[in-house]
Amino acid sequence: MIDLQTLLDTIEQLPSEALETVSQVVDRRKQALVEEQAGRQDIEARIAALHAATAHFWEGFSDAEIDEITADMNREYIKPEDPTLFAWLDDLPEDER
Amino acid sequence: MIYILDTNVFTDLSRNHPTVTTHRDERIFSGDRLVLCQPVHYEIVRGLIKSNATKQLERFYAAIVPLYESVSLSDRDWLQAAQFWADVDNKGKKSSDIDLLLAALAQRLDAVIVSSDTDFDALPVKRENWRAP
Repeated sequence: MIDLQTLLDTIEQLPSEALETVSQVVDRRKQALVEEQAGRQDIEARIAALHAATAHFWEGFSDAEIDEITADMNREYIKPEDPTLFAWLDDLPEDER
Repeated sequence: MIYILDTNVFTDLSRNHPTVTTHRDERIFSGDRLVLCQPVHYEIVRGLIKSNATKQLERFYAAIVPLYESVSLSDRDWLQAAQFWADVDNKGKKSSDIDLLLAALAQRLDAVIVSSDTDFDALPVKRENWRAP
């Protein structure tokens, strides 16, 4: 990579067409930096919002209650192999089963 | 990279699990896409409804859902989930329908499932456990 002074000296010697190209490159680079900075601010704002949203999410519930609710959320399936699940049917009259 | 968050990731984040939160923040900083899909919404919301957690339900939809990407299941995902169910069942194993739908979506998007649930390891999908440092 060349140093800044060498770059500036080179630009001073460029013909007008080449200067226009350099100008376009500089504009594009400046715009990219602006967008990059805006994107980073968006990301930081999003993370801050996520932290704020969860900081007091469970307010009003005890740890035991939260354990129960999150267990309900994560419960996966009822094992159909449980032989007692429909045992109550055996107590019904045959024509009502 | 696209990351599909399982319900246990949401519950960890809602309880400010430090390692899971750090992983989540790092992925956002890296520009990765974090997805909360319908089956996960369903599991979260059912727990909140059962406990009459109305404020939490409101916070979930108003303050959390908009900050993640939402991807809907397609007909193809349901078909793929059915194929996964048959494959897993033929091997004598069980997977929940929700897990199968997440796996189908992950396969379509070429995404990584984030979950502490090792059941996903029976399926042909990539998984990360953010509880691990």
